[in-house]
Amino acid sequence: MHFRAVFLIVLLLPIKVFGQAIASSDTLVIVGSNPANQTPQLMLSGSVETSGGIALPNANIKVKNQWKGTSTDDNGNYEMKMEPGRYSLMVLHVGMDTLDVDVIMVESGSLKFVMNESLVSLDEIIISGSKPSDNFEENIAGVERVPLSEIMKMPAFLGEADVINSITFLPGVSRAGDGASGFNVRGGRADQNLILFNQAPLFNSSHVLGFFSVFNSDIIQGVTLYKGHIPVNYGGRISSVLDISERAPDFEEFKIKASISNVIAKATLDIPLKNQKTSILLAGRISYSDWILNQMEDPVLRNSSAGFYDVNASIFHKEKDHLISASFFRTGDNFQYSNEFGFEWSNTTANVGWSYLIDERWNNDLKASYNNYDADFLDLQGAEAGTLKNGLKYFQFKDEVSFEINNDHILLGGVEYINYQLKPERIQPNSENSSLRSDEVEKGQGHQIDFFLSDELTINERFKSSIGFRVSNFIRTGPDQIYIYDTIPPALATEITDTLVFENGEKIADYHGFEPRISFTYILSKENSIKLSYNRLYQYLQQISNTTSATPTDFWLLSNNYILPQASNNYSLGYFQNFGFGKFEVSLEGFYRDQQNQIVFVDLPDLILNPAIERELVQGKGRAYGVEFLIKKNLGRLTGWLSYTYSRAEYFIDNQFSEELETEKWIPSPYDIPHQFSFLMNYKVGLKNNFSADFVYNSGRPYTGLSSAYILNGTVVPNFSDRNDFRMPSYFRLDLSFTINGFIGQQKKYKDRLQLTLYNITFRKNPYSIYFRTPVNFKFPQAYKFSVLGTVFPSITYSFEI
Amino acid sequence: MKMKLFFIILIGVLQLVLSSCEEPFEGSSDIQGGQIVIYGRVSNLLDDTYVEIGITKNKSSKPAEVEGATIQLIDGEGGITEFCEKRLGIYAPSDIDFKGTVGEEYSIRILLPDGREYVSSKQEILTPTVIDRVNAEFVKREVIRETETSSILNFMELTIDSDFIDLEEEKFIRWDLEETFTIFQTVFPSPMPRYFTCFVNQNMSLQRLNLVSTSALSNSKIEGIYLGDRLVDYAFGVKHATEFFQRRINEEAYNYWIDIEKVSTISGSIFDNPPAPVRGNVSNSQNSDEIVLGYFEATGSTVRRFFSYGAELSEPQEDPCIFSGFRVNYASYCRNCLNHPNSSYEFERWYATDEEF
Repeated sequence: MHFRAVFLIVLLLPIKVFGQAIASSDTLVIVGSNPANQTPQLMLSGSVETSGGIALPNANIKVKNQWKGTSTDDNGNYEMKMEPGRYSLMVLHVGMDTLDVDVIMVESGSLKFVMNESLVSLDEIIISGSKPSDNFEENIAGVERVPLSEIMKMPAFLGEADVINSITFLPGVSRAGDGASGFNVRGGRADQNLILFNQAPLFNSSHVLGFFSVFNSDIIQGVTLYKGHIPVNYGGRISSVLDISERAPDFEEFKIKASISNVIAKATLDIPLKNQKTSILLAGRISYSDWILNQMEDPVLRNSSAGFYDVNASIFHKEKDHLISASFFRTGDNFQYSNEFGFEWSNTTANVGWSYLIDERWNNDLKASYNNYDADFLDLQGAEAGTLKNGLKYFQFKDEVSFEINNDHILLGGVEYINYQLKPERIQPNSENSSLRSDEVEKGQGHQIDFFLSDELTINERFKSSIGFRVSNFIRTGPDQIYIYDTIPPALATEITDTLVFENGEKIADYHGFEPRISFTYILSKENSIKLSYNRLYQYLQQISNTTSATPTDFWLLSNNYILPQASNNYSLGYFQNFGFGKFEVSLEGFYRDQQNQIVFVDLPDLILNPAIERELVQGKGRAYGVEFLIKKNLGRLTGWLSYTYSRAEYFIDNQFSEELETEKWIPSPYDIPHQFSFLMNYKVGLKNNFSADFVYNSGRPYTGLSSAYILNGTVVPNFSDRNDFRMPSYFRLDLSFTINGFIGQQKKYKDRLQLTLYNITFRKNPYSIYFRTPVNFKFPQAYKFSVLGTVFPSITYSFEI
Repeated sequence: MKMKLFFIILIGVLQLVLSSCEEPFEGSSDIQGGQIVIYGRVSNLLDDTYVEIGITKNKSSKPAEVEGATIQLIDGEGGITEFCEKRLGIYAPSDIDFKGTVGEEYSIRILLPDGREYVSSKQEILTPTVIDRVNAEFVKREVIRETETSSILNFMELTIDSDFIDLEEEKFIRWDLEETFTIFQTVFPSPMPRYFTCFVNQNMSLQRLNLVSTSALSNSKIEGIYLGDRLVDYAFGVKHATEFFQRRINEEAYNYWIDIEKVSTISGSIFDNPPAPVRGNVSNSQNSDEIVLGYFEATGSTVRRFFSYGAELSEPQEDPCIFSGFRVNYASYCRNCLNHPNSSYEFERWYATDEEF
């Protein structure tokens, strides 16, 4: 809380007895007792943790009215040199109430800050997930953090706070449209984003094909999106990294948190064990949309069903220098369209982690993960009724070691190994009357082992560098069969001349990539800086999908001797400025990305159950470039941000192999959205209520239009133009929400809130696709605009915490 | 199922959960037309071989017919069958008894009056496969209209049972549906009333392609293959015949029709694959850069027919051309039945004699 009415004097005695003083909000602390011992340089050290005893890394401790401050390390500890005197300290952390503490430094000593979770709107809302000065001081260009508190305030579709939706308001991030699964960063494909949950990659992050994400906001600690400089400890995708971490449970108090809305209910339990060193976090979320379907007039819709669920279970155990955790996450969707067709998918992730503070300088983080993903498409009718299955599983091991040479110099190194086991794409009949023949196509396995090392150095007060590299090594193995063609590339081949069969584990191809990751920050003055970064990235696993949004029939494919690894060079240059002691942040960032071996599908490819999938694609060059502008207001009753992005994303197939596949010019990619504008605002109403609004405008995506039409053997056939020659109408949406904190009454043991949301309040029918449908009676094809959301969506969500 | 995936593909997933919507779009387009369209078929059946030539028009699905072309069908030994113009833009063998030979390869050569010459690749007529039975069932369906009102309509649901004998050899099949029916011109009060009857023979307008590759089947004998629904309307007023053609085609033709199916059955869902132009096997021999639409195919075909009579329907169809003193507006084909597309005063012999084979 940011009230300054209460002062608490903590005397030297408790410091001596318990090792350190404890400061909560609005506290005056005297550190030291004997003025005679004053020395010019004193050391204030200690820790920052939650009221539940959880250490808070990256908390910012700032000396007001001075350009001075520090932040906590991974274990929540800090050290700060100070001279004797009186100071006003401000302690900030994502999702926590800001602490204001007055300190009188008498001699060196220890001080523990205890922060409370922010449950109500405050006078000061920290928009950035990190400390305000990170905007210009942090040595990473193109990183965005969205604090959970901010996600919770955003107007959300059907009242369900959504991590993925929240990041689409950031500059350079877009979506193909309402309901599109995944997101696109700087013009990249959705499968070029690495989505990590507790450091484990996820392969499907969307429910109901993109309307909700799989992340339950009640157990999320924070969201970080790396779109410019990608730290060396991340790899495997060429566009961005979205790192989502689960919060640790409360170690002291048993807590229940639950919410209910029109279509979704969820509950979370924090269960500390008696020793206060071990705690369990349980969470579940389930949808119940069938009652809406039952209201539909269309009998087909009435007989349909759709639903999803998530289950999270984690246990954390902390010792003095150790934090051990184990977590389990299962999520899934099911959908059935009357008795005609349906799909279901599930994803199970389990991981264990051990964070070990070897000594004050050395820290070791070990992580092992297992993931199993299954997707089924069901055709329930007719002579070809069947189930199409695909999926994958992987085992991941990662060890990160950091060594702090001194406060200004940190080394980070490690190794990461992933064994991908792609499941065969399989089809089988699912009824006795089906004449469908069972079939399967092997997808093979792969091993990726990466080594990484970086050197984070603050050269002087103005100049910081991060120089590192990652070496990725990939081996593609069987079981699989590889075809030999009469010509290369296979897309031009007329026949298969030979077939090579590879047994389980037998090597098919191997690739290596050197990935430099370099970033520099030059601090121009107390509140502005410029940042420059260069990154090279490799990707050995790609999603085979020729649709705008992922579908249940999409599958993942590892690079082989025909499908070369995708690679990108990423350049960023940005100017960052803070105003008013972090009240405002401004950034202007330009980027350029060139891509090699970009996958482009041939016209009308046959992707399902195709053992020669390489014949359906070609690989070319890609490029994306643009400028991103962002202004944030972090403090005051009115907070929020406004962003504008101009960017282009294009690809080019040269005639290295054949003129037939060559594109004569750069072709706009399906995610080429030149203009993106968005703003988000939160306004505190009274002491505990909050009004939020968001707005997004995107210029239209490219599509392939109609050139003419003709009748062939009784069928009207549209004759289409060259690829992506036209543009859809632009997209815009305005959403509003009003949150009443303490709806029944705010009490110490019972906290609740009611959120009213109006989503798409302008009733705008934003285009998802333009398509041409041919009516019967040989009429000319009519162009239609398909809009996923055609109206406003009101919702009410009530949540409480005990 | 692979084709079906694209066809049915989750059309309504989002419509299900939300109030998704579609509306006509009058945005940017570049509809100009001007491309030549050539469709040719050589078949082992009588009266089943023809070539149709047109040029695409602006905002019209029916191309402008090309008259005066010289067409030759060339067999594998160089033998030539000359074609003559049977109807505007439609050419058939001059020999009215012409039937293609199973196992023979054919190609076409077309010379337009403006001097342009087009040739096709060679196509072989493969051994036809057997139709076990054709089925037509009259059903009622609830139909949601664009105005979002629903109504119950009568449909004729068409299915077929086939036997592909063995699955050792991969076979590619396409089913076509044609229909023949009778229309009576309106008899207006007159001292000398004029009675005219026309017969309409046309492809059934279902905007649907029925294709199968036997490699996807577990059983050579399959029953109840759904081919489409035909709305019961005035065409069923007197006598209506449905012709089921089971055509065996080669893999190249099959892949061509699969592509045609992909671009002509786009549903607009978020799962649609991006469309693209489809190119066939006919080219301009003087200018390889010219875009030529259409295809020349050789089919080993089998035909079965189903007849229905207006009087036997549970809900007989009213004749839209019957004279009423209170009516002013009549469809153009009521005034002249030849105005109905694909109509003539002539009919095939099997139509009169109810020949099912």
